[in-house]
Amino acid sequence: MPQPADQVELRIPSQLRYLAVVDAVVQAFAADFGWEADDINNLGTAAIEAASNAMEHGNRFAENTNVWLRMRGDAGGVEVEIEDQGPGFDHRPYERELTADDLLKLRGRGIFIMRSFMDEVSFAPGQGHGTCVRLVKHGHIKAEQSGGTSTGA
Amino acid sequence: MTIQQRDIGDVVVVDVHGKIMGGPDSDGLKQALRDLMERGAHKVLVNLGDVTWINSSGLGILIEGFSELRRQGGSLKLVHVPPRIESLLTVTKLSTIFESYRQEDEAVRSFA
Repeated sequence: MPQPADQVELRIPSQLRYLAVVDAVVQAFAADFGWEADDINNLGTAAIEAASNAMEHGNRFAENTNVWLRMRGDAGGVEVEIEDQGPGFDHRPYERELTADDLLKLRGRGIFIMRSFMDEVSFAPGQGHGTCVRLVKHGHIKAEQSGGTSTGA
Repeated sequence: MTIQQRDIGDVVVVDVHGKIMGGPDSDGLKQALRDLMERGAHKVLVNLGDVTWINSSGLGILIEGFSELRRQGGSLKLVHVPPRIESLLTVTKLSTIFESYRQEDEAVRSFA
């Protein structure tokens, strides 16, 4: 499938230690646009959650499986796609606000965290058989780079 | 991730370095908290000052330690929480259950 010329794409093995690579690459991609630190951190945090889900719930940590990370965007917004090779992941049970009963649960916060930090989160079938999570963040340019005013997209 | 422990009076300070992300890499923290409880520690202060990030599975490890210590009549508190992790605790409302402190001496005194 043709890809936009300015798209960055990486193949990441399904091992949690590579989440640091996801974080570093996504943050570097957004930092290049001069975003505020909070926006960059939040994008990285959401990408870590998406990649964690892809490795664990999508690929079930199966050997020789990978997660694909695709990034594109500009100073106004960055789109990150994270796709697994699994049999498909039903995100719907996790699409809800956390309640007081959820507070001390050990799991089940990943999608809530993604939605809290991103402007858009969507799930779709991937280019292969897996699930593709699409994250969109509209960043704010650091004040010193935008002439003293913060300009959100 | 690496872990070191220090005793300040009857408070055990657990210094965590690196990333807390669940899975085998974070088993050390899970086991360290369990070991502390087995040996009867009731006042545990987790120092997150050198933690670069934590994911939702990592939060689960802290919650497990918090819940188990509370069940045994103890408490688990946090110190030196970096802004990035503080944001995560805020959006998940875990900031309402974890007591966190900016200074270690203040955190240690809070157990008294």
